[in-house]
Amino acid sequence: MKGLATIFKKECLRYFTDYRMLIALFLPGILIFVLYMSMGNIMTNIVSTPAIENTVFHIAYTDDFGEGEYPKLVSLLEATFTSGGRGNTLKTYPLSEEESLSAKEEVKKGTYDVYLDYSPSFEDELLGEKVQTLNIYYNGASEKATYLYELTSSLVSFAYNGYLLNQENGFPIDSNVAEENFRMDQVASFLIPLLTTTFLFSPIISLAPESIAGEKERGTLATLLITPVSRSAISWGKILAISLASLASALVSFLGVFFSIPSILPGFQLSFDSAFPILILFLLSDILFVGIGIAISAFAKSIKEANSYLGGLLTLMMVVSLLSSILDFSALPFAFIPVFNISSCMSLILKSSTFPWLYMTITIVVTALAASLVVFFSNRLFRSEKIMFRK
Amino acid sequence: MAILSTDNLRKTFSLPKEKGEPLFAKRKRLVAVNQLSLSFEEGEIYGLLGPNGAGKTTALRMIASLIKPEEGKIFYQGEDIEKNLTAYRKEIGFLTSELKLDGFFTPNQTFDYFARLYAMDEKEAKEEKEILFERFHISEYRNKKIDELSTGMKQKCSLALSLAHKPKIVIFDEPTNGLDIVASQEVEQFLLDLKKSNHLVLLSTHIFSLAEKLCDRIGILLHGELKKEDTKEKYKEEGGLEKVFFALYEKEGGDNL
Ligand SMILES: Nc1ncnc2c1ncn2[C@@H]1O[C@H](COP(=O)(O)OP(=O)(O)OP(=O)(O)O)[C@@H](O)[C@H]1O
Ligand SMILES: [Mg+2]
Repeated sequence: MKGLATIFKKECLRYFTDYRMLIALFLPGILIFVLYMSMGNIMTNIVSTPAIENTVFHIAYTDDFGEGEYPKLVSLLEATFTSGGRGNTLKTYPLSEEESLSAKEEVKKGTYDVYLDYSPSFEDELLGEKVQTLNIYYNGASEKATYLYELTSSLVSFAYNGYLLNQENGFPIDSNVAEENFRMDQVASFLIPLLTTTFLFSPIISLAPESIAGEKERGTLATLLITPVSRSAISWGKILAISLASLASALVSFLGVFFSIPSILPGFQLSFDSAFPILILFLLSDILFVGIGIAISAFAKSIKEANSYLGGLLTLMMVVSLLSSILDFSALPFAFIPVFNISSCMSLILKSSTFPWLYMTITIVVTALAASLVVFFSNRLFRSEKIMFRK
Repeated sequence: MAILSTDNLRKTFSLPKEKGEPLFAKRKRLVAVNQLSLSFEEGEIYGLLGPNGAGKTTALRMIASLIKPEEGKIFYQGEDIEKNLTAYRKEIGFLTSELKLDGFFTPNQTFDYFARLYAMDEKEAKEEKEILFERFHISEYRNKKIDELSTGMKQKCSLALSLAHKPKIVIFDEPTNGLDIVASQEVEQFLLDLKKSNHLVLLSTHIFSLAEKLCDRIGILLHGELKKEDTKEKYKEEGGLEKVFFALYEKEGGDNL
């Protein structure tokens, strides 16, 4: 297609050299970072301090401390509970070596909230040079267990203060027995699809209306249409340029979030296994969204008209992505609904314990189909003089 | 043989739905251009004259291949333009006061952009740019954003750009619309120069004096149809363009058009 490269280059030049465009594209990502950096701590507090009251907690530990002896940590915990004033009580379970073998299983089942796995004579050896570890097992899927775990781990350095605790000696190891960290994943499973949709779609809102409806409005489109360049080269050039600019913008937004994750979702880690499929969905949905944006922009008479259609669509998409992560849409038929399936697939990847292969495959196929359909459709609109010269 | 001709062009537009009309009722259609057959020679200026809504813009857009006629054909050097649109588009320059340039770029950037879209040879484009920028006194402003230029300057840029690819035919819809007397004067001179260099100039206007001053032949368009076509001299013999036009206008039912 002759002329495609020329149009693509010119559009890119426009997007990447106009400072107003640059602000619209890249400021949100930077703001997110700044905002969450300052707001993150508030969120953390809301997220990680559930008001747990009048509850009985169960803590088990390897009992090689001798008759009537408690590990320092446990006595400190007990003291905290009695003076806590929330009506919470702590039950302690000293385990024999044999019982210890099945302790992790019991934590999973919920018999114990936390199991402290000390190596024999832990406290004595802390005084020596040898590196010591303290494994704290808990079920991250349980709010109650996580609460006790957080309390326990925050008391470790306090309890072993006198033992010259340092990075090497007596370092507590966080050992979550559940396969995933339930609460943070829950938050992530709605936050990530929601942010993806917003980040991908909002740059399109600032790019697409300008791209065609704006050219119609300003009368520059006809100047382009009388050149020998084919209509499909024009629309492809525009689609590709917007894709590039919106991806760059979304990437900056994502980096903004990525670096804020520690303060938004403490303890949450995006594994490569889920990050990679999410990236694929991300790229595919960008093409679909750009196609939708271009089609709407080609259809609209003015920037204003295009903006109002796209604004409505963004709201709808945000609602959809919220719904798809709150409600259970894991049934396969849902994977066949375009746009909707993107966020529900992302949230499934983050939520479920087994990777949703089939759901993901269907989503990819459906999105690719929808994207080609939309791109085909906007090429058609470009050829339609009824649309291009609408009165 | 005529360089460019049209054969029985027809174009209709669907009218917007009227109140109370059923949703899926067939829309009524407005005939914008009907049975329009014209033919043009090299080195002439042809004017389409008509009141608002007569179909001038629609006719010129069809001839410029921006929109397609429903019926009829357009021939360039005896060949149907649909057979090779790309080649045809390289031969025409189309200009209207509605056609604008992207104000974000400079005249220099815009010229290069269009030269590339027209797949021009780089060296040739460069030479042509210098000639045209000199001709329209753009050189001084070549690296200024078009947004920052005055209306007259913008118009000159548009003129220069419409000639960038050295078209043989220049189609001009309402050439002096919105221009002041000095700028109009310059445009008129520009059109006469084009004629001198053996271009075909096709223009539309509703200004009698402009048509009489510039055009070799004038066609009167009323209600989408060609009512009369003659040389400038012939109109003069019949008492002037204005007189002839209003005689026709009355005959056709005047305001009921
Ligand atoms: N894209 C379109 N959609 C619907 N109707 C149209 C369209 N373009 C033109 N028309 C109608 O066709 C008729 C002829 O319009 P046209 O613009 O060709 O007239 P004109 O002679 O150029 O008038 P003017 O002097 O106002 O520019 C008008 O009634 C106009 O409303
Ligand atoms: Mg007109």
